[in-house]
Amino acid sequence: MIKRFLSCFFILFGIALLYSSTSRKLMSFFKVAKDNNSWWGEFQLTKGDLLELSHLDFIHKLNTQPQNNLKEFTHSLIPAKYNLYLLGDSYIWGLNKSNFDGLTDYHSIDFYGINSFHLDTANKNALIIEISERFIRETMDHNQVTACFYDSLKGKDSENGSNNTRSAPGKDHTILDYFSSITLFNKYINQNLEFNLFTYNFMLPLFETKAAINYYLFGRASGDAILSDDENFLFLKETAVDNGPKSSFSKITSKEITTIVHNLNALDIYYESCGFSKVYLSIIPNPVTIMQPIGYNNLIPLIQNDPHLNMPVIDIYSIFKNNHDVYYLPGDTHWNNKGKQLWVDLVNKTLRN
Amino acid sequence: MTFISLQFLVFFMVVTLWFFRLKNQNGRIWLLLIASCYFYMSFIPEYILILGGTIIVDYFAGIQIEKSEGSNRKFWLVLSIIANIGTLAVFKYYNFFIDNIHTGFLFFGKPLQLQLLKMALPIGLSFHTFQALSYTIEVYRRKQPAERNFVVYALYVMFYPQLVAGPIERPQNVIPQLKEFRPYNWDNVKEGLARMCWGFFKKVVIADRLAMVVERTFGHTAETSSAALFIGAVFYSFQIYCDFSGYSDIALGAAKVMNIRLMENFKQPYLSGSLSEFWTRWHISLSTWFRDYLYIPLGGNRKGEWRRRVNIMVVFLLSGLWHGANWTFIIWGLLHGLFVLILVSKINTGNSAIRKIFSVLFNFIVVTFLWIFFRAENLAAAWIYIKSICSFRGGSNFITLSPAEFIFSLLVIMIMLLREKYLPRHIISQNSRFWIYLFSMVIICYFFGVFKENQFIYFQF
Repeated sequence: MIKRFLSCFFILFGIALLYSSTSRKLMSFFKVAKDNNSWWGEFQLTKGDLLELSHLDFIHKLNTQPQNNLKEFTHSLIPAKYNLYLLGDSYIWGLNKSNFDGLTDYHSIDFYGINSFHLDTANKNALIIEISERFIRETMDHNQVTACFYDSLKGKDSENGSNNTRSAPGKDHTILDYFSSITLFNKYINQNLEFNLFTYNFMLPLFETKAAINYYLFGRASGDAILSDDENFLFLKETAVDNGPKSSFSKITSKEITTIVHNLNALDIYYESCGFSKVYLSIIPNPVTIMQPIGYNNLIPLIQNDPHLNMPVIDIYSIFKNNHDVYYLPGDTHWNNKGKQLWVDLVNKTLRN
Repeated sequence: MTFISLQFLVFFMVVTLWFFRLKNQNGRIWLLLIASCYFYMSFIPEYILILGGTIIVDYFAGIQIEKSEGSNRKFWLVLSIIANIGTLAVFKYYNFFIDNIHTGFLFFGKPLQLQLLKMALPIGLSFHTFQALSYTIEVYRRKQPAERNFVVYALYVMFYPQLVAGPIERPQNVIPQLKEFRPYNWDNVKEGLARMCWGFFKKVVIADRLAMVVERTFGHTAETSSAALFIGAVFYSFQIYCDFSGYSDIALGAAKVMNIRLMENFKQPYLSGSLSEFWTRWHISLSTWFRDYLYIPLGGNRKGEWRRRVNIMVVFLLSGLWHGANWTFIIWGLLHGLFVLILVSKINTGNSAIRKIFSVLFNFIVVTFLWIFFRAENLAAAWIYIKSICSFRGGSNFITLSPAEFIFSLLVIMIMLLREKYLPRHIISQNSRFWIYLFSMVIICYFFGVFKENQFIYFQF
C-alpha cells in the first residue's frame, strides 16, 4: 500500500516538475515566491553573478561590490540635440538621462523585452545598439537575424494598437515552426529543473563544498565560471573555452563576418527607415578578451573594421585594449564603474560630434 | 534530453514507476512509445517527422516482404533500403557529396554554384536507420516474422534507451521482449540502477574531465609540445571509450530496470591484443551489423584471400563513412581496415605474458594514433597532430589540468580499467550494499563530476 502510494506520488511529482519547468508563467511564479532570505529562498546574487555561479564566495578578493557612481550632468554643456534610444543588454542597466550630455530625452530599452516607442520628430533621434561580444555570433550570424533586435522596438505598429510584431526579414513561418513553439520542449528545462530542485538557501553548502573541492584540490572553479590565470578574476566559461559561439577564442570564418556585417547593415537600414537619424553600433568586449587576450579570435576588430559595415561604431574595444587598466568586476560578467564611465564618455563624445 | 541531465533523471523516474504500475503489456508499450517520442522530440521536435516516415515505410515493407514471394519480395526490401539509406544520404551525406563535387570542379577551374542543405543532422539517425534495416533484412531472410502491431514495431525502432546512440539492436532480441509481460523484479532494478551509476561515473568523472585536456591539445596543436599532444591523444582514447561505453551502460541499465535486456556493446576493447580483436570488443552492435549484413553477403572469407581482403576494406570504408560525412572518418576506417590486414598475423602470436602485454600496448598505441583522425577537424589537422607528436619537439606543456587533477585522472582511468576487468557485472545481491554503492556513486559523480552539458560524442552519428 505504502509502495503504491509512494510510486503514484513520485509519478505525479515528476510530471508536475517537468511541466512546471517548461512553463514560463509557473517559473515566474516560483521565482517571485523564492525571492526571500528564508531557508527555502533562492541564493541571492549580491557579490557578483560569476561568483554566485561558481560558489566561490570564500575567495574574498573576488567579491564584487555594486558600483554605479557615474558622472552626472546637472546642466548640459552643449545645447540639447538628441533623443537617445539605447537598445542593449545588462551592461546598460542603471544608466539614466543625467549620465549623458545634451539629450532632449532618453530611453533605455532592454532587448530581451518588447517595447513600444513613439519617435519625437521635433528632435533628432539617435539609436545605439549595444551588444555584448558573447551574443554577437548567436544573434547576428544567421541569415535570419534574431527577431528581438527588430521586435524590441515596435514603433508605430504599437502606437496604433496593432499586434503586428515584425519578424526578422525573410523569416517565413512554416509548419515546422509549430514544433519550435511547443513549450513542452523548452530548451531551458534543465536550468529550470535545477532552480526548482536545488536552488534553495539550505542547499547552498552542497554547492560550496563542490566548489571548494575543485578549487583546493584541482585549482579551478566549477560550474559556468573559470578562474583567470592570475586567479584575480572569474570569467564566464563559455567566453573563455576554445569553442562555441560565445567564446573569444573559437575560430571565426570570413563568411561569418560577412553575414554578421550584412545583418548589422540590415538593422541599420530598418531603424533609419523607422525615423532614426543615426544608428550606432557598440560591441562590449568579453572580459577575457581584454584581460587574457592571447589567442583572441579578433571578432570585434573584424566586424568594426569591415569595409562593408555601414553603421558608425562606438569603439570601446580599442580604448580598453590600449589603456591597460582594469575595467571589469572581479567576480562578475560586467564592467566596473571605470569601464562604464569610459563608455558613457565615449557616447557623449560621439553624440557631441 | 541527454542522459546526463536532470530532465532525463526525472523523466526516467516517471516512466519507470508508471511502467510498473501498468498491469498489461499493451499499456506498457504505449507508455514506452509515447515516452520515447517525448525523449526524441526534446532534442529537435520536428525531426520526429523524419523518423516517423521511415518507421511507417519499414512497417509496411516488413508486412509486404513476408506476404510476397520472388521479385516482389525483393522489391519491398529494396524499397525499404532506399527509404532508409536515402534518408541517411540526404541528411548526412548530401552536403559532403556536394562539397566534394564543388571542390573537384574548382580544382579544374570551373566553379559550380550548388546549393547546400541547411539542416542539422537528425540526432542518432545512423543508429535507428541501421536498426530499422536489420528488421527488414531479417524479415526478408525469414529469420523474423513481420511485426503486425505497429506500436510494437515503432517501439522497436524508438525504444528510448537505445534510440540515439545504440546499441543497434536486432529484432529477434528486442521484439519478443517488448511483447512479453514481465513483472517487477527487484534484482533487475538493482542491476540496472548500478549499471546506470557506472555509466554516469564514466561519463562525468572520466570522459568529461579528459575532454578538458583533449579540447586543449586538439585546439592548440601548433603551440603544444609533443609530450602534451601524446597525452592528449591517449586521453582522447579513454575519453571516447568512457563517453560511448558510459552511454551504453546507462542505456543497458535503464532497459534492465524495465526487465529488457539489450545487447552488450563493449568488452574492454583496450585490452585487445590485435585490431581484429579490438573490433570484436568495440561497438559490438555495429561491427556485428556490418559482419552480418555486409561482410558475409559480400562473400566473407569464402571466396579466397584476395576477396576477403577486399571485403574487409569495403566494410571498414563503410564503417568509417557511417560515423560521419568527413574524410577524417573515411581515412580512419580505411586505416583500420589496412592495419587489420597487415598487423593481425605479425603481432598477435605466442602465448607468453610479456608478449601479450606487448601486443595489448602496441595495439592501444595503434588505436590511439588512429583516433587522431577520428577527432581532428580535417585531414590536415590530423596529419599535423601526428607529425607534431613524432617530432619530439618542445613547446607548451599546458594541458588545462593541475598536477593533482592529472594524477586524479590517471587514477580514475586505472580504477575504471581494473573494475571492468575484474568486476565486469553489476549484480549486487545484498540490499544494504546496493544502497551504499548507489549513494557513494551519486556523491562521487556530484563532487568529482565535470558538468558541462556535453553531448555524448556518438550522438552526432
